[in-house]
Amino acid sequence: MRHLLSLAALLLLSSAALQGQDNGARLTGNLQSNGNFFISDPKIGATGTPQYDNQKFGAESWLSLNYANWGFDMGLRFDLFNNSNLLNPTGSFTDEGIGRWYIHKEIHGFDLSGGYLYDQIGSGIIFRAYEERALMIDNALFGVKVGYQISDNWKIKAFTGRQKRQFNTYGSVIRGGALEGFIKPDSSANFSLAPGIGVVARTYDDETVNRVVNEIATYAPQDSTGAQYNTYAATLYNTLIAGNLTWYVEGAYKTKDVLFNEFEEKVTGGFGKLVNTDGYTAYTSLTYAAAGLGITLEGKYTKNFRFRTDPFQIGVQGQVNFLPPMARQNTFRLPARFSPNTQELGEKGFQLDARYTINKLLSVGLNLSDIYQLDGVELYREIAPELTFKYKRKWQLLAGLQILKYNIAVYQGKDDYVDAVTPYVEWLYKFTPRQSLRVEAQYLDTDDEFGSWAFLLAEFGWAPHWLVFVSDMYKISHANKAGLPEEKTRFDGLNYPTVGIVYTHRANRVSLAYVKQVEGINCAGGICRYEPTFHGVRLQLSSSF
Amino acid sequence: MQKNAFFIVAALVSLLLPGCEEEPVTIPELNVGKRNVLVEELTGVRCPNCPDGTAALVSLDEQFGANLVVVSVHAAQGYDLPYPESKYDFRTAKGSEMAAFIGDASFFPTASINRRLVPPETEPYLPRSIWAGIIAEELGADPLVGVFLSTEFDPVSRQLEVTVNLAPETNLSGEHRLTVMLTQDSIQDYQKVNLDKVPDYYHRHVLRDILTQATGDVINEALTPNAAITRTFTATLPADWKEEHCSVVAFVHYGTTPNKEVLQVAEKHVGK
Repeated sequence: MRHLLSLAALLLLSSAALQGQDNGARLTGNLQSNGNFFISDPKIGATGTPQYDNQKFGAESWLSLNYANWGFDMGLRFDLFNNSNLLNPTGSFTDEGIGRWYIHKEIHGFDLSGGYLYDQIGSGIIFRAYEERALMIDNALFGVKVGYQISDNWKIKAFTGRQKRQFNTYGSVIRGGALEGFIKPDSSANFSLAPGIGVVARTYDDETVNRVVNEIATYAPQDSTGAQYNTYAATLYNTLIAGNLTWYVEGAYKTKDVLFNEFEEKVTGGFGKLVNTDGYTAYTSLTYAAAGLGITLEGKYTKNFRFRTDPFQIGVQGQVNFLPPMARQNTFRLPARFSPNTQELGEKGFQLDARYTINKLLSVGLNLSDIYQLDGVELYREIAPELTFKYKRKWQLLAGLQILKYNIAVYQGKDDYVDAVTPYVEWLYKFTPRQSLRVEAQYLDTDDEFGSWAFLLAEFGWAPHWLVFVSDMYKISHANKAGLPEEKTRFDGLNYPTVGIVYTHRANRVSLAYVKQVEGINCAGGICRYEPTFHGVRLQLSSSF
Repeated sequence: MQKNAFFIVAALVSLLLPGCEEEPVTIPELNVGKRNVLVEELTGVRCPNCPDGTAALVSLDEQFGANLVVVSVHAAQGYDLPYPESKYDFRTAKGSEMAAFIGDASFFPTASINRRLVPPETEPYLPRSIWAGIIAEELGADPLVGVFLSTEFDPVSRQLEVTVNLAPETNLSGEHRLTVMLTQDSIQDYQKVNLDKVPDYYHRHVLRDILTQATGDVINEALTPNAAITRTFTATLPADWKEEHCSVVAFVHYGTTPNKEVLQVAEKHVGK
């Protein structure tokens, strides 16, 4: 059935594309491919997975085609995974097929879509269907969506379907809708409102409910809990813009939901059991933007807001919603080493991000983040001042300092806290308008986890085609290893070099790099997962047309 | 236009709101029959979260008694290396081979339940949240084959003789395999438990050896009712294995990917 649908979609798109070539139709697309050649290196832990031991090569590729004509938009995406470790970092996944197709049409104010759909309500707290390839997240909703433009300022949408899981779908049905508007009293008013209300319902399939009740049946009476097929979540949100201020606020409530709580203790011993509880989340962000100054203050409170299409799914799989993170996504290698994963069962935190341009040469910034469990245990604290100095158009220097406290026990299940101080600089020098050199230097100073690290990168760019880079991440040896556990010192003195070349031609980009990369946590938008050590050659290709 | 809007809103509301109060879901009584269930826990001395999983399995073991057979396979990738101060190395080449044969594990604690593939999971290794429910499902099924074990142990020579009798309940077609393992319970040694490295942790149901091939010995005879099949195995227990804590575990299973499901398992203590 899956292949039949895929074939039908492919034929439809091909036929439409051929017929529409000369009548103003538009065919666009893009290709993204990764190829990893694995080279075993037991010294750094690059061993013991199917790719290192036997397969030696793994690849992922996504080819999207989008076609627009006669008021229709339609698209098709071919996904390929060959011995890929993207789904399971220590395993191997091979499959290929149509990863997405969709048809969309606007007619008389109606907005009609069918297929694999990406969408969200509000900031995504009760529903977000999205794709994040680096983390192997593809939460597309396989279903239909109907939208309607009620008036110039008000629109409504409703959808129903099942969540995608690789080349299959989960059993549970998700349905929902939202009403969104825009209110401005008159054109002279200096404020506006953008209110919205959304509701999502998830209905477990029989198989999931059977699994839930079979699980609960094994519990002692004190641990036993009820279960239901349906869970509802509602959210109310608004964006107020008044002069230089933008204030977004969202509050969401979820009715009783069977979810796995790994922190709950069973009376028979051991942690982790199914609980049936309601939950809520409140999120707000206040932004002030004026000439040279930008400040954003965010706050969030979450309790029992794990919302999955299947209660037994863990990690990044099966998430119906998305909870906004309370920490920035660091881009530099060492400041990004310890990233916080959003805690669905409970967390409270705030984040402040401020930027101020003092003059044409100098600007400063400050990022503060502080996240706690609901019982007051600190999870994450980051203080990161930063300054940027631009000297004419010749060179630019960015310098920053990250002061970090990271609860590695909660986030990664090891040790206690990581206290780290990481100074970092980036220097960009332009020899000519086309030739430039970028240098990064970072030093992560800590006594925790494996200890301190240093990182150095040099990147030479020859616009518009060539980029060559070389970097090394070096594990500083402990001065005195006596008495230290072996796992703490096992990477001491090791180098993790990377050298690569990138060629860009218009919208096509090819990169080839030899990479030695230490194990760590890879995050995007507060969603994180463990990434094992990598050693090998990485070939990446992206192209848009 | 306004009329259309009304219909849209009405459709949205009807889509979302429950028509009436949902009937409460009935929690069933546990149905335990003649079927035994094999749980193969993938663990490691350095796995900080694995003891939580082991505690859950010990609790289920006490609940289901002889119907549940638990084996801890020390082959958790990246977590199974013993500490320098560890007294034992629980890793075995056959154990690692068997763990890889079962499937890929991407999280810990993890265990396979009768090596069953439970959609939408793509690997037989399942998260802790689902163990009890799948065990309950499996316990309620009828066994397709009987597995009967007898053991003879000579404490002087430390030689162990194992006899496995298979008695199919029905005609079974396709390839079937027999795997026979030796396990040892209650071994005190180092284990990472959350943040602590505990020196006197009791390791439970530790896989010590596999008497057949790691992927199971293929049963060439036809599996039909009233045609019992017998296999015998011998092993010599090392001197530091306490026989009163050792057990033999035998099970019949499929052996092809993706179906490696266990049909029936039996466990027999070695020592008196």
